[in-house]
Amino acid sequence: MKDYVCLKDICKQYDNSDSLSVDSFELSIKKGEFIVFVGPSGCGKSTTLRMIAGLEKITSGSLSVDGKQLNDVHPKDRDMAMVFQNYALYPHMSVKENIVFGLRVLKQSAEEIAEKLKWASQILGLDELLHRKPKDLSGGQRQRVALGRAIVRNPKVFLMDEPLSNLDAKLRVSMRNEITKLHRELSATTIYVTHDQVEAMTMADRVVVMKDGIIQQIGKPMDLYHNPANTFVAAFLGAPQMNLFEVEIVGRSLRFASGLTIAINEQQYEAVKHLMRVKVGVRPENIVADKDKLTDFPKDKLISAPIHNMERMGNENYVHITLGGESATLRVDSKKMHESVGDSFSFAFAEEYLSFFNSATGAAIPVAAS
Amino acid sequence: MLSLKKISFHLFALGMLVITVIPFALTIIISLSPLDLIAHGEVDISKFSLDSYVYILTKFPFDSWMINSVIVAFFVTVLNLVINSMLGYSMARHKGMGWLLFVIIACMMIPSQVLMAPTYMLLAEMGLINSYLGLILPFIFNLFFAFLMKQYYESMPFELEESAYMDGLSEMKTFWLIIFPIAKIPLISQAILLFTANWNAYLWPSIIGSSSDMYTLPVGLNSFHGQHEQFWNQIMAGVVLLTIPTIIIFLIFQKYFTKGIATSGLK
Repeated sequence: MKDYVCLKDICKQYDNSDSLSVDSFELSIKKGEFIVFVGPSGCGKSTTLRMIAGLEKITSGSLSVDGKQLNDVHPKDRDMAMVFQNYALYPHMSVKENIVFGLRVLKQSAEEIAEKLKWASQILGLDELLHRKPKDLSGGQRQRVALGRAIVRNPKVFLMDEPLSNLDAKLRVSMRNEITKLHRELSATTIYVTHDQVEAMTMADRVVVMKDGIIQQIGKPMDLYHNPANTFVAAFLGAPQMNLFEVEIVGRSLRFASGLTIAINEQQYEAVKHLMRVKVGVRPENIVADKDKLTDFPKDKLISAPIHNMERMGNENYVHITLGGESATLRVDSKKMHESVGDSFSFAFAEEYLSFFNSATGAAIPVAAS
Repeated sequence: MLSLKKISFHLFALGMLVITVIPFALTIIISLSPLDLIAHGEVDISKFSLDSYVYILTKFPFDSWMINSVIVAFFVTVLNLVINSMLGYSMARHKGMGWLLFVIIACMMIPSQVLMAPTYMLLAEMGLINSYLGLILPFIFNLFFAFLMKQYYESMPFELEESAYMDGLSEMKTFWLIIFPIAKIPLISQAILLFTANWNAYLWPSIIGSSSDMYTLPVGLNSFHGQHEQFWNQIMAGVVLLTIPTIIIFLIFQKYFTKGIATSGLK
């Protein structure tokens, strides 16, 4: 499919800053795709979105949508709709007026406006609220109005700037599902900004991970999760985050700071043999802690460490242990967990789940498939 | 049970009310009383009449003064609302307008009386003496209210304008359709204060309006003063008639006025 939104070498430098807020941003988006920009605060994700919207000037690079160059086009002429973090509903207008305002600006006919209002209010469950003012709505209702205002316009691109971050945890989950459902129904090209990796993982067709204005990795959520390009992406995606250990390569084994040594397979050895040290990563759920499964491991592969903290999530526990000065987190089935804080806890690393990163640069070291 | 603090507060409020109401009550009483009783400082309800009102409404061009006052107060108020809002908004939103704020604060320190002579000379040069433009033009914006609007707009999130741009509005349309109406509360309180001040204005209209047909009500009232005798009942009847429109406006917009005072930072 042809690229619909193209960002080529986009840079942003603010007048009062010496460094680039967004550096050489390169991305092509297909029509109907749901793209999520994710990263910590100040990584440039919102700035990039605002440049796409036309609310920030592009310092250099080119932006085009549907083949049309948009760098110097005013936001009003870009045919995009944006949902803001604080909803930005017009406080002096009712819900109905807020939703149809954009259509009135576009001078659509009264019949068309009425039809679209009916459609949007039904989809978003706003029928009962149409005559209320924004101040009389809850956070979730306001968010739905903001979405309604965006969808009635049927724009070329939907832009969403952390639209769920002002909602409580429960409402965030339900709104997340509503937005995903809406995207499935409308197949609208959507660019969504969030700092919440759960939103990125659950909603996106493709995720763009950013740090310090630079794209770290672009890919499908599960590709990023299983094959992170560097330690930043590895640690940013996944909750609890991936455990990273600095290890020494000794023969065909990895030696941890604690003195613990674990053997690696042939492909892994081939990938890291030229290095003295590497960072090894393992997801909390990939550390084997199930007592039934541990019996499959030879005794010399079993590791014991004291539990220094435990978070009970209900179905599972996050067990925090210290391994040679470095802390690690394990996900353990709560029904099979009988130990408590201070107790010694046994586990083992399954070598096939280990990821390797360059110790100096943090870049992933590819390992050939066995 | 009422505490001592509450009782003393209520007594204080009552005292203030009496101080405020007594002069107005006296104005009404004098306007209804015959001149000879007023001269002796007597009040006789049985002799109350509307004669003074009938007299000033029939013997003086009260209606044309009223029309002049309405025109001046209306246009000064409307132009102030628009210009003060635009000025406040541009200062709140556009970088590099900080110097204007400095100029505004500096200008606010100059007493308006000092500016009257140069303003008069300027308007005389322009041929605007004894005209509506001469009455209106010097007061079409107010630096103090522009400053208050700046404070108000600074507290408004940028996203509202950005949302309007995304909805397809230009900057000018965004101001008229979103920014201006959102400031309804401070605008209404500003309008009441400006309308009242200009409705009651005496000094400038008496300087610029030299002929009777350009008098506003307060200036017209001054002509009730006789050379040898003061017709207090007629003067007070004029004062009552002058006050009625501002009271009506205040009663209608009272809710917004108090809200506006609370939100505009005047409190």
